[in-house]
Amino acid sequence: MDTLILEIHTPGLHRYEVIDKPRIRIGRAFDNDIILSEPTVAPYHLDIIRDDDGHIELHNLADVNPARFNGQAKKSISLGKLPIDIKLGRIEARIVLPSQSVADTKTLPGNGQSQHLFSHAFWGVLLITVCLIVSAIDFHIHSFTNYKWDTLAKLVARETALYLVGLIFFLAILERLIFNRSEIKPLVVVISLSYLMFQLITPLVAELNYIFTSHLPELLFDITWYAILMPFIASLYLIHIYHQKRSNSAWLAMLLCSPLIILSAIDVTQVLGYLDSFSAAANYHRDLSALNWQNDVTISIVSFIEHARLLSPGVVSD
Amino acid sequence: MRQIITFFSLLVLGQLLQTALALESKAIYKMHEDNVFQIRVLNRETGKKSGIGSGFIVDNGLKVATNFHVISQIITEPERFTISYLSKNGRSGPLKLLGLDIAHDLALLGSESPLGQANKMSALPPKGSTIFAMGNPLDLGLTIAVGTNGGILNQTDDSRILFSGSLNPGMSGGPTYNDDGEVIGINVATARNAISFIVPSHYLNRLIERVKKTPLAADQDLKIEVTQQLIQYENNYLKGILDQDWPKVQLRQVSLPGAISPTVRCWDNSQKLADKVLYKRYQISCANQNQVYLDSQNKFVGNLNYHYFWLESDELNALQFYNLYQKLNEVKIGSRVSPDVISNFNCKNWFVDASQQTFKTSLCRREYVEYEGLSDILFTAALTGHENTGLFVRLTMTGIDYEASLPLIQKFMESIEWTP
Repeated sequence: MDTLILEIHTPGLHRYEVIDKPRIRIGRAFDNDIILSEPTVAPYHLDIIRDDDGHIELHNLADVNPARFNGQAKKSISLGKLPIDIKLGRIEARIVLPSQSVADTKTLPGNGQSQHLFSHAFWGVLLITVCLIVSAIDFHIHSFTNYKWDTLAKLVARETALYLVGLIFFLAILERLIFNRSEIKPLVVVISLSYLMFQLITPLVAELNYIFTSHLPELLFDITWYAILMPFIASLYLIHIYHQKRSNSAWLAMLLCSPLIILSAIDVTQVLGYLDSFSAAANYHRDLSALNWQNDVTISIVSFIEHARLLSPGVVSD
Repeated sequence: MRQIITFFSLLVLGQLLQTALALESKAIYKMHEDNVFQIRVLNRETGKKSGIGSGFIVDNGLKVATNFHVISQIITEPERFTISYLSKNGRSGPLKLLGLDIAHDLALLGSESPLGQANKMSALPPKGSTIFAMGNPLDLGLTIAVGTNGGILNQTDDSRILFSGSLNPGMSGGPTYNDDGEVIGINVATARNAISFIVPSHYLNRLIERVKKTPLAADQDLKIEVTQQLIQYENNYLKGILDQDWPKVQLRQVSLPGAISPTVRCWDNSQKLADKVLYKRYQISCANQNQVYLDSQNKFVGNLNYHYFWLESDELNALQFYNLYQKLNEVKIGSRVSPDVISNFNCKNWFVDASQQTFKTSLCRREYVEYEGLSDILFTAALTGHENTGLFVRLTMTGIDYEASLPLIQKFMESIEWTP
């Protein structure tokens, strides 16, 4: 009598049961051979019966949510070609031969270093420390007065540490709700890296704004960061930490980042609206730069006046 | 004893003077109570007054002089409003617009039927003379205010006389008399605390003569007339500024245009900064005083304001300095207007070389919806390329011909002199 394998699809890692008895009953009741504690599964949902000749029959036992075999609802079927897909309530499963081939082993990105980075507490602590140092530098270069070190420490604690801890705490709760578990260490690493990336890119974008005398780099960054980069990072996180399929992780990442996407859309609309809206404050390009890299050539006063002659008035609002 | 006698003598003299003045004002009031009116802007639909001012009979007894701002509603909404006069004894009648002098806030109105005896005009009496302003303050009835002539103000482009008496809302457009009861000016504005302003009567004489030659046509587009007058006045004003040498003002390492016209006053606006602040900033603001009333929505135009803002620091590093410098790079144009009456700003940037220094300049322009050809202009120039020194030059002009403003901006930039 050949042994068969019942593969039950559950979030995260799948569950595998060996079918080696003449009769195996599956359902939610505790006297079943395989218990599926899922509300849409009947107390006695499916019988797997094997005769002495090795023929296998599957019998539906459920009146509510009857079992489906390869997508079809039938009272019973004789097992022919394997694998066969079975649906019991909301649970998806399939019967396979033990010799069924499995997919090739996936190589961890970065020869396993990312796994190491994501799962080691040391990296989390180091990155959070770097975040706080970067935040302190940021406050310093935006400060124009004499301040004491304790003022800076309080600012960093209040503005950055609290923000990061709050975000980690919030996402940990979200993970618990969705996956029934929380992965604090990888969460700390991902959030720290995202924060650092943001802190690094923002001044570069400001510099690009100045170089091209345009608001376009800022707008493009807003769109790219919130609508593309953040969901991409979230998707990678779901694939690597929660072993989600690519398609699932993409959708879930978009869903998780949707508030950010909406906020960025509002932000971009506001920036565009600000540029176009009627305002007593003329929306001229205000960016200035210490590097003073500029794409436009410096022109003479006479040439400037010639160019200025072509300036038309703004549009009249509706 | 001598001191007591002197004191009482002065007291009696003061009383006598007051009595004399009271007699004089009483006589002038009596002389003119029938030829000074309340001017009313009436809503055609309700027949009720929407705005009031004062006016007085001039020329041939068929004309009434008042302020343009009293009757400006009929320029913006001629289909809604009409003008009438109301005399002290309750006589009233319709008036029509004959002529305007926007720059000096004057309007000449006409009646089909004789209104009464016309006021005589006279030149301005010597500075310090007693003068008398008549009008209808706050719809409370005809009254007279006594004050002294403070002379013609050159900061208003000679368009105003300083009157040390109290003018109140509703007295605008009323006559100001000398002690012979002759009109020397027209009440126009107040800055409160017995500081008021009068339009010299020779501008009214000029308007009367112009109306005799070319009165406004019944179907004339008054907004075009207003725009043309305003542009003509502003262009002459700018030409006067451009034709003269400009005084300079030194602000740290740079020499900049000072008060470029007698109408312009400059002030130091540098604020005291807290001790812990790691930078220094110096500010000079200049503004003209001869704004022109346009209408109830746009209020005053013809503003010419410019500000210099110097920023320096030995203690901030370049990154800190430029974060601060950029943060301070903001300016709003003064007039509060709605999108119904003015377009949005259109701005453009250029890097411009002035005195071998590079400035990031921004020029913004918006246009008045109902007065085609009138623009508001905002020009800013920010010094670039210095590690710990910044300079903003900001120039704003309102209700002006855009083309005419460019030579002023050019001369402004050419006048900047960098002294290393």
